[in-house]
Amino acid sequence: MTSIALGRRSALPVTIIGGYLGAGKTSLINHLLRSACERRIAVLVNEFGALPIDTDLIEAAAGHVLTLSGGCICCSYGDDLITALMSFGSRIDEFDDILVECSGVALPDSVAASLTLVSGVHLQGIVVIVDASNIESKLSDRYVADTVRRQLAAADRLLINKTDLVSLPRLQNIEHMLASDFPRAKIVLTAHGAVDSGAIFGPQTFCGFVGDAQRSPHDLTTLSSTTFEIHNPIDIAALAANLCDRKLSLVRAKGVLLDLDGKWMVLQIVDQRIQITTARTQHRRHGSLVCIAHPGPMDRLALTAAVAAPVLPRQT
Amino acid sequence: MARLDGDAMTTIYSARTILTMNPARPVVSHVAVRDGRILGAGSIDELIGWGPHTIDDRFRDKVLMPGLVEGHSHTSEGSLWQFVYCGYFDRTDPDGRVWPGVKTIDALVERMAEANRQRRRADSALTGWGLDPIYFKDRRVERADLDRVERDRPIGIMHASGHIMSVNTKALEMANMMRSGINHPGVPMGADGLPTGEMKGPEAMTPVGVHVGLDRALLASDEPGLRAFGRLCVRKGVTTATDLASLLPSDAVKMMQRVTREDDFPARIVAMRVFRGVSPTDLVRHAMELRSHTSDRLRLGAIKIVVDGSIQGFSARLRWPGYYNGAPPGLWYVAPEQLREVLDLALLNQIQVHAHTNGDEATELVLDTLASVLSKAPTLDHRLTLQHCQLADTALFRRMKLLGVGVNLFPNHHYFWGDQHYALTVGPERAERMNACATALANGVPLAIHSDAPVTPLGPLFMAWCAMHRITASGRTLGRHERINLNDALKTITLGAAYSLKLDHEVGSIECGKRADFTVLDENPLEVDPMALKDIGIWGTVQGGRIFDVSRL
Ligand SMILES: [Zn+2]
Repeated sequence: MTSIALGRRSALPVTIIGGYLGAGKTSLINHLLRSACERRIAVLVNEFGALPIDTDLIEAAAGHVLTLSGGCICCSYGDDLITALMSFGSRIDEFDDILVECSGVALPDSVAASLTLVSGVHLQGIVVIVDASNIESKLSDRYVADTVRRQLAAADRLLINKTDLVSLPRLQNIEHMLASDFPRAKIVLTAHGAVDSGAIFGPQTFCGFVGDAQRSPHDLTTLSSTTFEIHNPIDIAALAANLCDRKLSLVRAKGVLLDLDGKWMVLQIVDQRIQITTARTQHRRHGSLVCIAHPGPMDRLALTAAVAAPVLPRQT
Repeated sequence: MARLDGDAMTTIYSARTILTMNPARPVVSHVAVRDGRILGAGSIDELIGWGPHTIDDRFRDKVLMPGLVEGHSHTSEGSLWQFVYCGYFDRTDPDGRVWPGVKTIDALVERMAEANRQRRRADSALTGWGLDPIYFKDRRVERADLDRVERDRPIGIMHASGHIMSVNTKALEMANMMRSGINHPGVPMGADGLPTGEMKGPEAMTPVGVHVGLDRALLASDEPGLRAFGRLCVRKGVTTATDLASLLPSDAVKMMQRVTREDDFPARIVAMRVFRGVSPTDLVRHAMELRSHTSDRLRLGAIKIVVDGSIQGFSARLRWPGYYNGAPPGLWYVAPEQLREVLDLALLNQIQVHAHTNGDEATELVLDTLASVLSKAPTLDHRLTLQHCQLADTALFRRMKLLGVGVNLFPNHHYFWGDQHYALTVGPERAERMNACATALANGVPLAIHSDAPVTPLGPLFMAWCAMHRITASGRTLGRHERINLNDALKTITLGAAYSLKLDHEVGSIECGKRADFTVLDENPLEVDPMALKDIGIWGTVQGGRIFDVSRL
């Protein structure tokens, strides 16, 4: 399999990002925008507030819409999500994904229900973020415990954020508690919202770089990643075959690379499945490749060899 | 400035009776006005001492009261009258026409059909408002009913609560909602797998609302709507009213400034910035900027924060044991941390906060939060006011007193929905203590009452009647012990509401130095049968010394 031709979609996939006030929804969204590479994401936030979007991502601002680098945009919807969503129903070709950030006390399943009112969008998933440093107190708070519980119950993915702020035993307790109370949800651990975007958009749409997420000593469960900058043309099929060597124990790899014909291509490998597609943007100067391995020491030497071999020296 | 040397015009009005709400001289025969303000209230002998004057006897058969103050209304009541009134109760429009209540679905269809025959533009929607199917023995108003009016023109009717809309098939088609697969609690589906035509809640109403003339920008009030609201104020004896909850973008503020400055605009409007779509910091910053644009007839600078939902929508936050029918305990519309931040910043900058709390848990949260803010930054006269505050118990009122908090209660609810509260939402015991006016007064909590127009009709005399009698639409007296007496009832719709708006030094009583704001009545409220208080004829108002005669509006 080399490439999957995506047929014309009939509706834009919407991913709902929920979680109590302060859990880290905004840093997650910034991280996703930063690592969006090929995906054009429309982010709908409750409010712009105190600069929720990192300023270096913003290309232009006009009223309720921020134009971001890479074809992404960010809109604030206030309390009228429906009107905001309706404006996207006819813009299916402009974006790949819609991210809806819920307000801190909103119930994500209510937001999901309201998607069915709008044509041109469909629910992709509900991600609910948990602040590891205060989730126990929120779940026993006399005012908001039931709200937080209803938020968590709506999730199909639970992102335990701020893992760097709690001890390992405590983190394990939280993870265990959430796993048993909300068995429907897949649990992902992270810090600073720096999660592999595959965990948000789903494996088919995996795109992005774990990059240099700051990792605490406690954060043992996180996958490890290595990023390569590759500007020279490369035999992408050969590279892909090398990366599928089980000795490297890669979970996935993702890159934007110049092929031997001088075309920029996107390489994705998920669980040994290879996908190569033409990059949407052909005007670029740098290629890169991110390799993500299972927890444990990565054999960087072997990995570097696997990556370096198919690279063609650039003619000078 | 006018000098008190006789150059300025002084007018002394005589009246059959003047009820001043000033306990030092509660009833007088004359009031002297100069420069739109009250020189004095007393006998003619006392007032001629102010110097040259003219005597105006036009009110000699009338009864004057302080101009009535509506502390929680929305100017959209004026805008809605461009649509067809479909409510169950008779209601007066801004031009004085009384629309009889719509008592059956057939009558509803006939009223809409009549409007349809008179339509001017074939391409526009047919829009109604004020519908309350609770009184149709809970027979819902569905698209099949409205299709009987017309199949090919979009029709939408907003319900009295403002939270539900009934639409016809054409409207659903235009919104691309005549389809199966809609899975939303606000969109009931019929046996045919298609929406029934009832749209509940803002999310469900929005996609269809734009096609039936009921988009959400409506609440921001249009220019003719604001003028119509002013005319309604005169008819109901109101000289100061609120537009409680608007985003107040600069265009809307400019419009409101322009209209309220017009020589014949008859009311003082207090417009509050609602906490929505901005951070607490930006909210308070905006309120401070608005405050610098305040004028006599457009008062700006206060904040409204909506803490929970509504009781009849089961979205008010209730403490244990929750709703009588077992519904979940309601929704927060703001996180406690955000509430805390808003209160912190607002009190620091002397911005007054009005907090909408329907359920008792929401009220308790505001009191807890305020107590914590005040313990760190003691603030005198913050005058935080709880709006609606329908379910507070006596212990909460005692805490309000200690924290300097006032309430603006909603006794009209008893009349319109008290029977439903008794049977369904909160059950008999709490329905009887809802809107506990007597408890508020007994505990020294500053009390105002309101209509929340357009949710219930503007009309402070009717509100006072509701607070005095607590009679429901079916005739039950709901909470005998929470009834208040006539004097207290009249005080809540004058000084009480003025206090909640921090305007009690300017309006709310007829005494030296205050604005010349009067309500001109045909009868004396102290003399009529207490059951007839709501029916007293209103001749008009005097606002800032300007005379507004209902018959000449
Ligand atoms: Zn209101």
